[in-house]
Amino acid sequence: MKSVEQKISSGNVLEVKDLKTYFFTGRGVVKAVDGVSFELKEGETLGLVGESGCGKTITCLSILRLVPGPAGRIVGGEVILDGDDLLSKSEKAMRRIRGKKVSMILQDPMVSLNPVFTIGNQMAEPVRIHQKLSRRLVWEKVKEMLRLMSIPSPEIRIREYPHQMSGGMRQRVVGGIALSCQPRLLIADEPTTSLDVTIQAQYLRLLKEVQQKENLAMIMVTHDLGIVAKVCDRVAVMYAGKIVECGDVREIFYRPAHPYTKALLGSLPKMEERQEKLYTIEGQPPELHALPPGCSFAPRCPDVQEICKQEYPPQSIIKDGHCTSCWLFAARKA
Amino acid sequence: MWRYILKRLLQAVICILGVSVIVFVLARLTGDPALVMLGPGARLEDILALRQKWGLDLPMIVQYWRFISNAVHGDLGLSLRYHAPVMALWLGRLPNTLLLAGVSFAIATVAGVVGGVIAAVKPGSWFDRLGKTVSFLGISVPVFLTAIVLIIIFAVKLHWLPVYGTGTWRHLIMPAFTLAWASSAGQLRLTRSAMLDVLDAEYIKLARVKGVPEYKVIAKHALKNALIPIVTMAALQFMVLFSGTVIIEFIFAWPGIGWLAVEGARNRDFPVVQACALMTSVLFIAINLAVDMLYAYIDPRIRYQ
Ligand SMILES: Nc1ncnc2c1ncn2[C@@H]1O[C@H](COP(=O)(O)OP(=O)(O)OP(=O)(O)O)[C@@H](O)[C@H]1O
Ligand SMILES: [Mg+2]
Repeated sequence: MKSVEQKISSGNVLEVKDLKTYFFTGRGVVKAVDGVSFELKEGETLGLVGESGCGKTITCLSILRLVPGPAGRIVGGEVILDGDDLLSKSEKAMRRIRGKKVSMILQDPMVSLNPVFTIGNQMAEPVRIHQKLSRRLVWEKVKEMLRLMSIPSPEIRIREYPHQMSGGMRQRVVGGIALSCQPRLLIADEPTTSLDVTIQAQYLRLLKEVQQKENLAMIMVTHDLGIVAKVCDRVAVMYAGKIVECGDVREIFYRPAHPYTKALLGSLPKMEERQEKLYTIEGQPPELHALPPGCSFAPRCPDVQEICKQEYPPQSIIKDGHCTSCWLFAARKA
Repeated sequence: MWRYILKRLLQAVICILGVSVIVFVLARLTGDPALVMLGPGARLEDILALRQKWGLDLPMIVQYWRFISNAVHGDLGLSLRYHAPVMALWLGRLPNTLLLAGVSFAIATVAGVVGGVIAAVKPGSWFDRLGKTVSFLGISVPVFLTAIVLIIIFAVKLHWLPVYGTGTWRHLIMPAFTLAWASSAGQLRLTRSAMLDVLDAEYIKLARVKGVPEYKVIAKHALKNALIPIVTMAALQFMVLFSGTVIIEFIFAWPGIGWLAVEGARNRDFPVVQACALMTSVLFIAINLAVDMLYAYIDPRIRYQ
């Protein structure tokens, strides 16, 4: 009984606690995800941002327990979906969750449809697996999803193959697949990077609409802060496998705390300025298999202190719901 | 789709014509058949008479025209030794070779594809390493050696299997196994690498994300994509295997086409050699055509070209 109460009282669809996913490679241990925590409420959108290689995709795949093996392994933490810890579930139980309670739109939609099966076949698959429907109803559902994703003439489209469709169409199909079983949580891993700008905006609007209608929790992975500003409620900034700052979109945009967040915002070209120079962050992101002790951002940080190179900063709360891990905000140890 | 089929058909016909020219010319390069037939002590009139009878005194182009127009009607001439139509001889031997090649091919393909898939699913496992060793040996040990070792062990020492001949399924075991081992090796390696490539693809990830059970991810989503190289390899292996029957049939005294061709060559029975070469080529071209059709069936991108 108690756990049920907790489920209701916390109101979180997803809680990720101290998640650690490492790759055990010949060159050493790559700590792709190293103690990531965040939570997500119904209807809420969390933006996960950070430079390439900081561990965004691996965080998402870890939630679904689909870390690329055999090198990759989840070595610690908890992933709690509606009060259930996914990391202690059997593989069979996980399969009933994938595509049903949690769906994901993969990073590259252009290649995420199988070239040798029809669109209809691929869209029907999750419906068939997760819902006990008759053949006819499965096809009805598929057509309904195509209509939901604003794809014209679904009757014709279901018999087509991926190569007969444009990139934007394919992306909608992938979105339709993800939404076909009324998931609780939708993970969108840079869903628009391979699309051109107008189609990108259309697609995001579509996703947002469906999300609001179904009250979905959503994780939007991106390195485009413009997208974050448009669709997210909260933002988690990731650097070298860790979340360095997390807070409401407004807080993060107007009162960024962590020097890395500031740098990211600084690298965003502003409309009003004449774009004579594009800001970039000095230096390279670190190699994850040989992280320096202390804060991983220290070598690139403009406000670096002695302690930053020795010890990782604890989390400090700046304001309700706005946290950062940086020595500038931590009570200095004696 | 129809354009694709028509194009392939046309290519096949051109290919057969080309082969017929080569076979025709080669058969004539081996020496004057009339001389061979009559032996060294023959009289000139006899030789000339025979040449005239067979049309060997006509210009090459006319001879070729006769050859090809007869061939179209299924007439490839008479065997010099058996005095029977070579087409009938070839067709008479075909079932034996098809049985041997077919059984070996089935074993090789099933073992190669299944083994390759398992190896790709668990790369680096003991099965993968075993598969690698077995296929390495299969590729590097020549078939005649395998055959002789098998004969010594299972026929001569253990008396479990007949040394040679045909008639029962027990006769089939050693020759079929010898051929299958050699050709399953290539299929295993190719299937493994094709599957490894495909299993890395984004659409495989999507299938897993959808909650598709793992066996279906492999057998449906991955295997169908790996099928193009697998089918190509299978066709190639069938042809290699078919040619391999020449040696194996000879070793195990298996009365098939391979043996017929070897006998024909030894007896300087040029119509037989010519027929074997031509008909085997036609068979191979037909297989290739079938494989092209199969590609279109497997991959919609080829179908909609
Ligand atoms: N199969 C693997 N083996 C070893 N290391 C890996 C593997 N997959 C990912 N990594 C490591 O994990 C880290 C995080 O990768 P991830 O794909 O999550 O980055 P990302 O933040 O999604 O970047 P991007 O914006 O480019 O998609 C990378 O630095 C990479 O080196
Ligand atoms: Mg990524």
